[in-house]
Amino acid sequence: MSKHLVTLNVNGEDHVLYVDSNERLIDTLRHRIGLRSVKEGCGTGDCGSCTVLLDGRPVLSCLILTVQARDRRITTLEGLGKGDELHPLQEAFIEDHAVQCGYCTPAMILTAKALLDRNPEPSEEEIKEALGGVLCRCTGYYSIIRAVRSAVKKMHGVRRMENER
Amino acid sequence: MLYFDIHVPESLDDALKVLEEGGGEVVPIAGGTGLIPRLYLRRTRPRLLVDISGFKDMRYVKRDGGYIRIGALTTISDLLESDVIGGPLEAFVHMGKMFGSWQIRNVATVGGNVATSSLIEDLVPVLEVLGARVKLIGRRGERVVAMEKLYDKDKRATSIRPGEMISEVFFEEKKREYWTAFDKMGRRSYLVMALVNVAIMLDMDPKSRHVYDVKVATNAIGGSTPGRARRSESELRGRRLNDGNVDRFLRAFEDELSPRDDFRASAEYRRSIAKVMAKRLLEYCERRISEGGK
Ligand SMILES: Cc1cc2nc3c(=O)[nH]c(=O)nc-3n(C[C@H](O)[C@H](O)[C@H](O)COP(=O)(O)OP(=O)(O)OC[C@H]3O[C@@H](n4cnc5c(N)ncnc54)[C@H](O)[C@@H]3O)c2cc1C
Ligand code: FES
Ligand code: FES
Repeated sequence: MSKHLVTLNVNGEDHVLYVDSNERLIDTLRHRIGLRSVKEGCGTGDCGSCTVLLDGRPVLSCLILTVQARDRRITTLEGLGKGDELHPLQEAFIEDHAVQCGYCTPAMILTAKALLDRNPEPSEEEIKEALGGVLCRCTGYYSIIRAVRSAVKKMHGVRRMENER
Repeated sequence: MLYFDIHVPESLDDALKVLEEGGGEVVPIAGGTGLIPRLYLRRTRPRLLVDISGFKDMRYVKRDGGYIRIGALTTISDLLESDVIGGPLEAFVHMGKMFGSWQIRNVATVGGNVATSSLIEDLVPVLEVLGARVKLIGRRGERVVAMEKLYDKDKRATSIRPGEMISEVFFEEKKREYWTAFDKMGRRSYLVMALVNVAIMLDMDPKSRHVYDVKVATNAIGGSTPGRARRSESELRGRRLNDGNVDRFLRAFEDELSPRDDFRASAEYRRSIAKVMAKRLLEYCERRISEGGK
């Protein structure tokens, strides 16, 4: 099997790696780069827990070959906060008890971030629509939707403050 | 996962060369959402994949001299975000919103959907009612095939030859008032494989209600059902859209289907929901045309 030299920009940092032809992005991220927030549930595209952002769009890292992600920008949950400072979505998920076992949480937060980047004030329907591809077996989803809505409020506050400055 | 190699082509020429030299053992990979699960399940065992996902110039939706052209690498999300895909082409919007999940739509491509012939593809009936054609390119040149000639539904195969790949799908833009609509029925409302999907195109005079043209296609229904239901279409084409003619159209449609019976749904169930879906879609298109597309 042939190996390929690829460059991946992961959470703002370039990684240059030799990867096998059949290596999946999820395995590269978890086992070679050590980003354990990326979770494997089904491995076939149905659960969404392996979601990462590829050039800002949510995609399933279990269905992408690492070679195909060459030269692209990848964001995992580890890339969201700044040091000890959490992203408003992360804070809201904690405050609104949107996390139980936590397995779906990285995917939920990343997908919600991609939504808010495009649509800063989504309706409840739009939130449900966007998050529909990530399954959660614990929370019953209500607390997750609530958390996304409170993150919207937090972020608007921040944005307003930035505008006033 | 199986052992296979992947080739990152330097140019389109290089990709076509490698595809041709490999015969059937070498296949293109675009988004991978169709191919990768099949590789895991060992349903397919190619020796080499040619990564065509980097060909950015095959990613477009454009109007061009009376035609609408969609590049093979256009994703389902690209379709939903395109300015060209609105108004009477609403079937693409209906289809796109029901396609997989956001994650899937961001990578799944038009070419990948059209090239697959597993009888459940959602884009296929939409393209069929628009009379779309598929442009295939290979080292020896290009050829154009009508959507309906692309599939051998019984054999679950396409007429794409080894060494060829889809570069675009295109269809003529209609000049008269028309509308398109799509619906899909599955076992749940999101991220679901269709039990039945139906697309309709209605080209009707809003005042006299004369039907210049109507096309209806199904895909997921299975059996040996062709994409288009031509006999049913002829019950309405050239006639007035009134209750009697619509009724004849729907009865013919029901007869013309030969749905499959499987663990997902019985043939009878598929037949009866397909009829209800066709009725609603037809009414929807009629309403949009009567309202002048508002
Ligand atoms: C979780 C999940 C949900 C899904 N939901 C839906 C759904 O709702 N509706 C639906 O219709 N499908 C669905 N699919 C199937 C799949 O996503 C689509 O068929 C998709 O359009 C395939 O595109 P791709 O770019 O990912 O194809 P790939 O996986 O890259 O390729 C699929 C096949 O097409 C061939 N191919 C790709 N591009 C070309 C080309 N340009 N020329 C010639 N051959 C080519 C490949 O060799 C391969 O055989 C789903 C899949 C998953 C995993
Ligand atoms: S692990 Fe990727 S979708 Fe389930
Ligand atoms: S918190 Fe357990 S799966 Fe969502």
